[in-house]
Amino acid sequence: MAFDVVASTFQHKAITKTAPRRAIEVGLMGFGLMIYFNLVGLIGQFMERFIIEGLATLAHTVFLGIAIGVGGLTSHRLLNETVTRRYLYSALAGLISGCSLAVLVFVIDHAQGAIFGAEFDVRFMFVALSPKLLDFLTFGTAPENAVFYHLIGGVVLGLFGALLYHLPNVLRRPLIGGLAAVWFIGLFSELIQLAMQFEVVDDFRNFFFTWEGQTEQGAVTVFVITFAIMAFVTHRGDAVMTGFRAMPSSGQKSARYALYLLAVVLFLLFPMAAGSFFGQVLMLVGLYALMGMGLNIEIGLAGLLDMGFVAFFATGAYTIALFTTSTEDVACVTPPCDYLIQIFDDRSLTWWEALPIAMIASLVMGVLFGIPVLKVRGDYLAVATLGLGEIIRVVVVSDMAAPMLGGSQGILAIPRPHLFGFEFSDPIQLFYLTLVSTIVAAYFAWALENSRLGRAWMAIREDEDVGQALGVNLINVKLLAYGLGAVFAGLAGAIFAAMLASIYPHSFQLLISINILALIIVGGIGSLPGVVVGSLMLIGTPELLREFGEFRFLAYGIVLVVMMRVKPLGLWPSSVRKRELQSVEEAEALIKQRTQGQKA
Amino acid sequence: MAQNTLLHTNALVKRFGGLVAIDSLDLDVKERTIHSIIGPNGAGKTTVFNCIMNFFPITSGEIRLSGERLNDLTPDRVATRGIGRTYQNIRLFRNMSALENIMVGMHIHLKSSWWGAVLRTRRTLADEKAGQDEAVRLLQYVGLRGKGDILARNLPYGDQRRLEIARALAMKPKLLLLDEPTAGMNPSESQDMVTFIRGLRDELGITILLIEHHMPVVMGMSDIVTVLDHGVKISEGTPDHVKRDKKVIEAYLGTGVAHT
Repeated sequence: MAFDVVASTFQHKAITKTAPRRAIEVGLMGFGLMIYFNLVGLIGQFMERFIIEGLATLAHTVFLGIAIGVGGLTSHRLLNETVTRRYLYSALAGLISGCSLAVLVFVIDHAQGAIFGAEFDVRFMFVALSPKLLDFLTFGTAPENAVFYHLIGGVVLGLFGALLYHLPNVLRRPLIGGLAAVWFIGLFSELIQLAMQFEVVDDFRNFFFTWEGQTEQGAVTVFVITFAIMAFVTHRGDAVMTGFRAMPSSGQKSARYALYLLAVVLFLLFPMAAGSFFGQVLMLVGLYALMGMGLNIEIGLAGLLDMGFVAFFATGAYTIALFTTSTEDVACVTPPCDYLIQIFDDRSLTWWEALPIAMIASLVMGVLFGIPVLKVRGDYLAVATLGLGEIIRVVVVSDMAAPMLGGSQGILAIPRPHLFGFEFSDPIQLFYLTLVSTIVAAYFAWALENSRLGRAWMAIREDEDVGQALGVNLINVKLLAYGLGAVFAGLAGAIFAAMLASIYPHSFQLLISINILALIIVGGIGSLPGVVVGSLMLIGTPELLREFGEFRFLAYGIVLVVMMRVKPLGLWPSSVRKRELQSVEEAEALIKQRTQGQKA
Repeated sequence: MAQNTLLHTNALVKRFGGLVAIDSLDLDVKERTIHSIIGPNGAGKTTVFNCIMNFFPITSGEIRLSGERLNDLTPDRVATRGIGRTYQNIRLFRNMSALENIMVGMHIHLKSSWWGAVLRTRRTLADEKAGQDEAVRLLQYVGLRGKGDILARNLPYGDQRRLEIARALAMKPKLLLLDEPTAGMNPSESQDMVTFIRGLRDELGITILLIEHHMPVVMGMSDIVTVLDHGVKISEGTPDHVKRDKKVIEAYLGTGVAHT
């Protein structure tokens, strides 16, 4: 309740800002963004990647996007003004953001020089401000002209943004949709082509793509087709939906199921058609989704902030490695170890036989992990688990465990899983294994969420003391959350070991815990589809855009901050379950009795 | 009205460091009564509740429910012995639906295990169904019919109070501890609450121990009133008796008034 009050005063304050001030604010936002992207070198990399071959690079589109966005946002924030003034202010905001590039051109042009006799070199600090960037920003003309172009460009794009904002839906949506489609297909053109390596489609592929990017004719075609489809949907979508609703409910149901089935079949066939690179990426996405399901039990349901989740992943992987490899590969003579070797020697199990052991080991590890932090709450819990997660990695490389666990050399030659004579060896096959595991994990999580235990978890997440006063045994419930969450991570670890066929301690960095945590937050805490969406966003997208890999964590940061601001509940928040309606009909009779009883 | 003692505290003492919050309190709550604890702010009323639930270890003394010693039990064990409570500042599970709140209250009565939930055994499903129906009935009982799927934090204030009581009722308690159930309510709402609490005793046979500030409410419905001041019991008896007790008047209004 208190939060609502805060929010409303905030809005009130926002309304009292004057129009020019708002326009300038938005403009400065664009200004800052553009300067920042240039300074960190993002643009330097983006200008290598063509969206439309020979015409527009990714860097161009980023500039265009920001300037147009600034124009649109200004109009959006000035709803009280007249239309003409909105256009004017949008142009002003566009101008300000355009200034950024003008300033950059000026700065790079005068990058080396002297002030009051003292020599300076801007590029000493800002390596990204290269002559190449200057070339790019000046379009090959003289810098003085380029400054001018950028200012004009800013105004025009700001106006265009305002125009887009004011267009009726029927035009705006298809327009934005078309541009987005061109951008998207251009960005991933290389990957799409990889998936189209069949002779029959050669001509088709060459019409749309070259290895540099999209062709102009391809871009135009994509735009026109998307525009047409979107226009039809916007214009006639309601009518189609009305027609759909008019269908008998059984027909509606079967149509919906047919659609689901189609989506599932397409999804299942996709990796096979798309080639092993996509398979690899999807495999990773699946692996993180699987771990996300586990961490979601701990954080999303039970509210136990766990930063050491990678420990369970490592446990699963190392258990598999220990039980499936023969110990000859491990050099070991010291006392505790030669004894252990006797146990494990010539008992090499298959992957499937070792899998339950790995899962049980993770479960036990989860419970052991939970015991010391039972009484720790909130932020302190995060710090405590952070330490516990690191301990696992340190133990593996320690002198005592190293002979058995291979130390930093890792364990090699882990066999792949076999099933009925079929070997899961390439990423695509392993992807299907991951997919099945993820579905099983999702089912577990879903079933548990709906159960007595799940409600107890949510209760202690909301208010531990009250939950306890209602009879929830905190120790049991917390340890179960750790244990069950850990099992999924252990399963993921087992698949991971099979995927790489070898494991090293440095595969189990803190970063993995942070990644899983971030994907849960982005997807929506406590939401199962959210885990998948988050995994696609945070694991899949960076993998597909490998060449910009060094900016991955910058993107993470931005995404997390923006998410907290714009969609604090995540991309796919969990929904309230409708339970009362479900049993209301039978309850109806009872309710009547009660009412009469109470009134009487 | 000769009744058995349900809850008994014997020389209960609770110290927080040097502060004596409760000093040698003997409390006798009889079965099927409405027993009120009143007293000025800081008299230690809520501390009594927290001691009964064993939220923190008591310094000395003894608490017994139907003769069973509660001292060494954790709060969740105390709850299984049949004590439910509500809180002065409502403490619902705000991000769970009203129905789910009530179903958490049933935690100790539902039998299903987690593997039962995963395997969807018949027993678990039946158990869940029964719990859900019971929860819907409780919703109806406290007058929240049709609001079961609303998140607790989105309910209006009065409904939140009712929901909190419904959640406590779901535990099927023998003894219900109500901490200022009419706080923030207008006179007519308070009157409804009084009727409702009486109903709990008369229809469900629940013994009620409540903390209250509204004197009309206290005097109107209590069988026994205990007055605390600085952790010490200064008076106890029927509402009429307490009303006339000099010590009580002094505690509330100061010594000067009592002498005039």
